[in-house]
Amino acid sequence: MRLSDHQLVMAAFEGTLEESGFRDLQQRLSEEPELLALYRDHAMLHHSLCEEFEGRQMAGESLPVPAVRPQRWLVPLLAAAAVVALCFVGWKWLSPGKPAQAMAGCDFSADATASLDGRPALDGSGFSPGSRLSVERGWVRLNLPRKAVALVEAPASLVYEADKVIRLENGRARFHCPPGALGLTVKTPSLVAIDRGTEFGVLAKPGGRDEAHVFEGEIELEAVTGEGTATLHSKEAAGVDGEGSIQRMEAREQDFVSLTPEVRVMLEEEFNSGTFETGRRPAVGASHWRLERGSPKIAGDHLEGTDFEAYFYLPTDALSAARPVLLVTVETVPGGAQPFHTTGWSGFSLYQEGYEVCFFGDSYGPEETWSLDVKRSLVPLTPSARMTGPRTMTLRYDRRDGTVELHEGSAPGGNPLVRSKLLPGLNFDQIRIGASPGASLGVKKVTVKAQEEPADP
Amino acid sequence: MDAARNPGENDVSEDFVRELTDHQTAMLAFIRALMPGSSGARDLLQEINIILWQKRSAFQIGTSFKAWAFQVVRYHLMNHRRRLASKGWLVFDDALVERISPALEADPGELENRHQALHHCLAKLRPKDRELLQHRYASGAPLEEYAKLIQRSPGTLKATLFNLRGALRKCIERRFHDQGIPFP
Repeated sequence: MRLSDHQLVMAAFEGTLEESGFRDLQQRLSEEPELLALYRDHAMLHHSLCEEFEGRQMAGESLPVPAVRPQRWLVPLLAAAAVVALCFVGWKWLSPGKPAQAMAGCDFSADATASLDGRPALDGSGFSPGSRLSVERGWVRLNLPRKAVALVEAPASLVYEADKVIRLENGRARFHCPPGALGLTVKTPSLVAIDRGTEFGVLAKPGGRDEAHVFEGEIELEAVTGEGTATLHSKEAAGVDGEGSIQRMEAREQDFVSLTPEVRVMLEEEFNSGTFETGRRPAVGASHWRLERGSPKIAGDHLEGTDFEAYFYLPTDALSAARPVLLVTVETVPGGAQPFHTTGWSGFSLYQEGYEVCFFGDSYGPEETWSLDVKRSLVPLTPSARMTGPRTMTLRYDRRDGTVELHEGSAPGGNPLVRSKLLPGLNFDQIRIGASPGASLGVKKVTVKAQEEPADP
Repeated sequence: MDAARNPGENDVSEDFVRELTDHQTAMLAFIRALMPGSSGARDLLQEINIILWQKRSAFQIGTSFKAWAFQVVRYHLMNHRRRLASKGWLVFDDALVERISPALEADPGELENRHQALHHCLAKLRPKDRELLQHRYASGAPLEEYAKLIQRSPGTLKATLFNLRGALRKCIERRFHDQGIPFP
């Protein structure tokens, strides 16, 4: 390869090639595979350098030498900001009536309070490059590209600088980077942590010492000040202060919240105190009970009643791509003046937009057994062997494929009592507990949660 | 409630957004390769993102997003050559774009490996050399201004940049070799 070939290709990427030179380059690229290979190599280098340094500029890192006319270097910065804004507006405009599509999905803990670019953030909010997320309470899980995950604990503030770059301004976060997400970079005021296929935690304490802790794999650590670097392996950690001093220490995994499984409890109610009436609030749940029929009573540690219906509104955003599995666990006990198994019904229903979608408990009919009634089916599905009397049961619905199963016990196991299909993608908005005239229901505890995967598959 | 009316639609969009996100860097690299010396690659990428989003129903999840997206990039460049040329951007002619595109397409993984290698190599440079590169790629200001500031001649800086790029190319290739990654 001649030196002039390098100069020719570099001139193309420098934008200093005259039109005739460009024509010459085109002609030769179509005829000379070696030149094309050289061109590709330079193109990739040019791209990497642009990404490396443009990214720094967009992130607000100052240039090493102040320009004489600072307004000139503002131009690309403002242009980049405008492009990001236009992209966001375009995205919203092209997707009317839907949440803005974003680069990273956010899921929140039940108690989380957070803001995205100064506005209150909601569960399911998107987190786009350039955005700032502040977590005031609870935790936020970021589902980043290439299946990387960050779990940010309050109080914390971070900026999603670029595709694989996060700036943790303050607070604590844990990162999980599968092989496809290799290279995720986390910056703090004092350190830069670059993933090498691992799970690690970062702590940012402005004015103090920032820390990086490796739980699995390894990371490369760089001090922002000076040229200090270190490679941290599993169980190793290091603190970096504002002067660039790196001090090694043992990793403290217990200081960082566990990443999995992702769970959002929508309702948790133990009927062991108070009275049962419209307005009763459960231990966990954003709504309250609504008693529409009958007068069930709390007796000791459970609720019991006959001929009653009580409803509870469920958050419709709890089931999501990140948490596609719904689990409804009920602990039933003897209770009420009538039997549980009758020709009527006694049990639990899930609703969507006012329609009962499925029921489990003792269904209408003469069979004395627990059953699953998928309302689009003609008859309730019963287990191969009858299951009678008060029990703890768990209904599992998988939003991804619509599978619905009934399991005995407080968690789904490998062998459901019955299995059926609902439509995929459902978001249930109410649960009903109740019993028909002539039937009774005794309930000690009800839990409804959405989660990433069952805890005990 | 959209999910209930059109089951799976949201999931499809999420898959699509994930593919789109994963290929942002690769598309940008491809655009930069086909428009050497132009500063508008990011603008063009945003135009193409919007087109891809509008056409998302035409993309079948499970097929190659890269092949589909890069084809859209090629067609967009060809269809808008005159407009792009009016901005002073150099764009290869249609026949050449078709001919050399396969060679210029890079996978997200390759770009990531290259970027990591670059990061490693940059750390080995002298601070003043890194500053020169940073000035060149971050500021967009003419080299002459920077030359004046550091009291060097523009010609010297151009030669330094030339040498730096050459050194970085070699270092990146070596880094690939050291890590047992085939150099494309």
